Amino acid sequence: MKQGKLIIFSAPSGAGKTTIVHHLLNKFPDKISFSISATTRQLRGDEVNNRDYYFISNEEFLHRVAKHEFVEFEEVYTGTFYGTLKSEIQRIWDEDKHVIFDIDVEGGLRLKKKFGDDALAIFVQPPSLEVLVERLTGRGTDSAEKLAERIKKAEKELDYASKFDVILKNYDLDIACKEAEELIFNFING
Amino acid sequence: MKIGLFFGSYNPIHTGHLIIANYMANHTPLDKVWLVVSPHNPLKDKKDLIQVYDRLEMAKIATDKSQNISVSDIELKLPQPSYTIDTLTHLKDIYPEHDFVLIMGADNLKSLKKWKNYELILRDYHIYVYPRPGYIDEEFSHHPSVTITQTPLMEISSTFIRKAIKEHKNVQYFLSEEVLEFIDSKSLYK
Repeated sequence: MKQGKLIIFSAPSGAGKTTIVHHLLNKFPDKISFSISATTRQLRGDEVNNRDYYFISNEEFLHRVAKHEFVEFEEVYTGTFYGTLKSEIQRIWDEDKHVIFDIDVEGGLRLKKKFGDDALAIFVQPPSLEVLVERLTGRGTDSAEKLAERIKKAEKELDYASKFDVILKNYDLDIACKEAEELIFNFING
Repeated sequence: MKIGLFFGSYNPIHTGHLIIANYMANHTPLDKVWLVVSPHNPLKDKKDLIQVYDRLEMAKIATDKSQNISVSDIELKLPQPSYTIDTLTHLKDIYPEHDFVLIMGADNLKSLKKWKNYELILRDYHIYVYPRPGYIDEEFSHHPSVTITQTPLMEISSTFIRKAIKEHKNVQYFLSEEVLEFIDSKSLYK
C-alpha cells in the first residue's frame, strides 16, 4: 500500500481556510488532492455531494464508526457528525498524491497526533474575532441560532493555535495564499 | 523576514512595476515584496483611477506565478485616506515578526517631505530607492535609512498605457499578457 503525506488546514469557521485550500489545489493539481470528509449535516448553499462532503445519514455514519472505518470523527454540534474515512486517505495516496484537509480545529489536531511527522498541521488565523463574526454573518446561510453556536465554537478554537506546526496569518488573502504555497512546497519536497 | 512594501495605484500594473518588484525581491537583501494597492494616492488626482478591485485583480493576475511577490489589500481595510505611516504602523501591529522596508522611486524620495510624519518613517524604516528618469535627490540620498539600489531604470508609465489604450494603440509587452487580456475583457481605460 502506498503512503504519502498529509497537509492539514484548520481554522475557526470563517477564517478563510477554504479559499486557501482551493488556491493550493489549483496550484498543485498533480501533487495534492482534497480529502472529502463524511458528515451528517445538511448541504449548504452550492455544495455538492461527493465533492465537498460525503453527505450520509446518522445511521450510516454510526454504522461505519462501529466498523472502524474512520481515522477520526467527532460530533461537532449535537446530532451532527464529521469524520475522515481511512479509505479516503488511501484513495488519494494510491493516486501518488498527498492529502490536503480542510477540517475543524479539533479534527485537525486528532489527525496530527495520529500521523506525526507525516502530517503538517497549519492553523489559519483570522485577523480578529470581530472580523470573523462579520464574515460568518455575511455568509447568510445559517440561522441565528446556528450562527451563535458557530461564533462560540470559533472563540474556543482560537485558543488552540499554539498546538499546530504552523500558524498562518490570514489578514491579507493573497499574502496568505503565497505563504501557504511555500509551506506546502517545502513540506512535500522535504 | 525582510519584506519590501511597494506602494502604488497599479492603474494598471505593468512590466516596469514587475521588473522593479522582481529586482527588489531577488537581487537585494529583501526576502519578499508585497505590492500594496492604494485606494488612491492622497497626492494624486483620482479621476482616472478605475475601480480598486480591478486594480487589485490585475496585480494578483500579474504576480500569480511569482514565489516571492504578493499583493496586499491592506489599505482597503484602513480608514481613508490611508497615509503610508498609518499603513506601516498597522502592518507592524499585525506582523510583528517581519521587518518592513519601504520601496520607493527617486521621484517619491524627492517629495518625501510632503509625506505625513516623514521624519518618523525615516527614523523607523529602511527605504530602498529605485531610480526614476531625471530624478537625483541630494537631500535624502545619503540618509542612513536610505539605500539607493541598482534597479534598472524603467520608463514605462501607467499614464502612457492608459492613454495608448484609449487611442486603440498596441500595448503588448508593456503589460503581462494575462493583465492585457483582463483589460480587454472588461474594456477598461477605453
